[in-house]
Amino acid sequence: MTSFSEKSMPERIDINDLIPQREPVQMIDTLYEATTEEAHTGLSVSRDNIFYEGDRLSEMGLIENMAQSAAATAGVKNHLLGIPPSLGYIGEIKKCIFHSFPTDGEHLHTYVRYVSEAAGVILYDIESRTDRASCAECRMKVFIDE
Amino acid sequence: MNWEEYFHIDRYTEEDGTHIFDVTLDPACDVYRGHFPGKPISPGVCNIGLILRCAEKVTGSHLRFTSIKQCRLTGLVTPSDTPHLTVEIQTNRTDGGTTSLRAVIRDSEKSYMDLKGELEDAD
Repeated sequence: MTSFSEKSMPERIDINDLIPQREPVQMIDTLYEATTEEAHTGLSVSRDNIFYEGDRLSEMGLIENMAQSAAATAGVKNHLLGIPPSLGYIGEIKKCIFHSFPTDGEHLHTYVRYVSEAAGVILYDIESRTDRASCAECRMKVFIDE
Repeated sequence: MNWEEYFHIDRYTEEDGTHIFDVTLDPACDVYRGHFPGKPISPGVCNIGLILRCAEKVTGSHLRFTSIKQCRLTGLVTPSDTPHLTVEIQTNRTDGGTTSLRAVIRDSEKSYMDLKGELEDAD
């Protein structure tokens, strides 16, 4: 649980109210900010994470973290309407570049920016980084099952 | 993630440079507890992982993505409705030591994912 920034809702909110994913695949553990247009999420990276492989969080883990961060943005809309989060699916990933991979004990910050929406498909620009380095960036289409 | 819990390979063939994997998804995989509770749907990222693991069978090396130029998800995959999938992979080793990858996941009905990306050796 975390407070929203003054740009968004003044209340406190649980991540489970914004995204439908649950353990063991929930890939956000902190909400720094979430509005209908932007989100800043956090994940404490642990070797216990289902997407941790070898000595790092995998590409799949980074993409799922970015997708759920985008879903949190969509989830704010539902929350404002007082309804549970809709199921959302990745529709397309483009220009996804992996710069580095976070390791056990590092904290991942992910920044989502809403670009546009058409016919239930929302386009986002997303990047994730640790304090040490940029990890990944992509443009993602998310399909929301209303 | 224990990928052996997510899928297993029933058959692997090669035809004119295309590597073809017939796979079966396992509904008992732990990911479905959370994706989603009471409504198991295969996470898109797990199918990207499925492609990566099959690509490793093709090259015989441990790989990771450096980039995904485009990945389109064109249908919902679930372990109950679409357990039997075919993964078709083409790889091209470049001079710089990276591998270009093109892959499709489909069954006899439709296509579920197509992906273009670049891989490098993870070791």
